[in-house]
Formats: sequence, C-alpha cells, structure tokens
Amino acid sequence: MKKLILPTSLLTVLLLASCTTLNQKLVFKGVDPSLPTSASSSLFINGASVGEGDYKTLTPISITKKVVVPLKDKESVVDISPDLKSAAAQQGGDAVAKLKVSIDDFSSADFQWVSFERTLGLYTTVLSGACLAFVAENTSPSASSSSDSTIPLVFGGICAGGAALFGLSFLHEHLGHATYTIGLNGVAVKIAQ
Amino acid sequence: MKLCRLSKLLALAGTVAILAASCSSFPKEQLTLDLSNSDTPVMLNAIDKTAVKGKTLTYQAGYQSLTTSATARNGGATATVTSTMSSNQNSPLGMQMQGLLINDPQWVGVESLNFNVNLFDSFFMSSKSYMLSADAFVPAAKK
Repeated sequence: MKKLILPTSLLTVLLLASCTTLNQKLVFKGVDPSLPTSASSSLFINGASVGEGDYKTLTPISITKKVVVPLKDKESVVDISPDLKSAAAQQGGDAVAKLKVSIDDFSSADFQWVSFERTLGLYTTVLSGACLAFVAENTSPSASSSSDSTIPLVFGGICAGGAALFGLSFLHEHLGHATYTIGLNGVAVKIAQ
Repeated sequence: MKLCRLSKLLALAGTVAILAASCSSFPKEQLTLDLSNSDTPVMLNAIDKTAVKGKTLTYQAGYQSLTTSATARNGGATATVTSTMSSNQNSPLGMQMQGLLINDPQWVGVESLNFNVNLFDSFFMSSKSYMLSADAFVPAAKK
C-alpha cells in the first residue's frame, strides 16, 4: 500500500500542475457614430430607415485586421472604426452597409509553447526527482565507485533542468501573445442628400 | 528501466494529443455575423439607450472540442489512441439573428459583439472553445 502512495501522488501532481489555460475575451467597440454602419442592407439614420434605393452603392470594402493580444490580458477592446472610416473615405462614402464581421483565425504559438514547456518541465522534474530518491535510497553508504556518484548528479541535473523549464513557462506566458484575424467585408455607400 | 519506458509512452501520448488539437481547422463559418441579406437596419454603431425604450437579446454561437489521449500496452506492443470530440454550439450567429428580424422591428442595434476563447491543455487532454456573442437591442414598437 505504501508503495502506491508515491506514484499516485506524483500522478496527481502531474495532472493538476501541468494544466495550461487561456481565457480571453475580445470586445468589439461600437463603430463611431460619425460613420453609420449597418450589418444589413438598410441603415437607420436620424430616426429614419435608409433602404438600398436611398443610397448609392460604391465599391466593396474588404479588410483583414490582425490583432495581437498579450496572453496575460483577460479582455481586450478592438476598435474597427479607424479601418472602416479609412476604407469608406477612400471610396468617397459616408456610411457602410452589409458589413459582415468574421473571426477568420486565432493562433498562439506562444500558448502551445508554454503548454509544452510546462508539461515537459513538470514531468521531467517529478520523474527525475523520483529516480533521484530511488537511487539515494538504494545506494549503500560504503559504495564509492565513480559511477555510483555520477548517477545522482545526472538525475539531479535533469531535475533542476525540468524545474527551470517549468518556471520558464510562467515567464513565457507573461511575455507571450495571441493573434486574432478579423475579417470585415461590406460596401461603402454614399447617402443621397 | 520501467520508468524510462513509461516516460517515453507518456511523452508520445501528450505530443499526439497536442498535435491533434492544434491541427483542427478554425470554425470560421460559425464565428461570422452575416446579415447582409436582411432589409431591417442592424446598426453596429454605439447606441444611446437612454433615449429609447426596448429590450436586449443575447445570441451566442461557437465551437467546442475535446481531445483525449490514452496509451495501451500489450506485451511488447504499444498503441496510442487519440480521440477528438467536437461540436458546434447553436447555429451561426447571423442565422439566429435572422429569426429576430422576422418580427420586422424598425431597427436593431448591436450593443456589443464579443469573442471568447477558452483553451485548456494538460498532459492527457486538451480542449478548445470559441464563442462569438452579440447583445442585440430591439426598440419597443411605437404605439
């Protein structure tokens, strides 16, 4: 029964401590009121509906916006107004209609790397620590050969390396980033006066 | 020796799980707000709700996946099994909001559009969750 305590404890520690999580929220700020923007084909301006027949459709707008957010940030605000204003102004438009907002991609090589570092670091530390304890327990105090003294050093080195990698994962998490790719597709329109 | 063999197996299982999770394609269609075929104005500008009475409805669409890995050993042979369960949570956001527009409100304002990412990675399991939600403000009909 006693023999099971150590492996079970090690496994529990591995399962609990090797978890890497990311909980992030990207909040889209409402578009600046100076540029009426609608997701549908009609707009609502100054208390009145402006249908497709009431405005001149200019060329389509297609924007791909990449947003880089630190992994440590729980919430980030994205302002798409400057991108839309710039695109509409280039076409001579004063509003945007049929705007399709899409999340095209999310990627974080840093998160994958943190996860790898944490898992491998913790696992190596625990396992080599167990080996070190096992060697220490089974080495007779009278033994003095060079191989007997090298083995604990090797396991000790691996254990320290694993612990360093585990610690490094937290630093990497603090410095890492995630990249969001946002798609904005619509049409610039000119409201008839 | 046994510890060494066990460590290799666990490392293999963990690597396979992480690779399987990272190779799944991004659920772009589910995470798109597309109302371009509607006639009712759906404004994405900031709303001043103090002047208008109405109600806010929340819509959410997304994707969730869970990848687990298990290793079995029979004599000298070992096998690593990776399984991934994934599902779309609700129909795409635009499609859900189309239902709101059937009642033909005068206009609709999208108060906020939020994208949530939840990732979890451990040695034996990884999960992903992407959610796009919208709070849609619908003004009360004029009497």
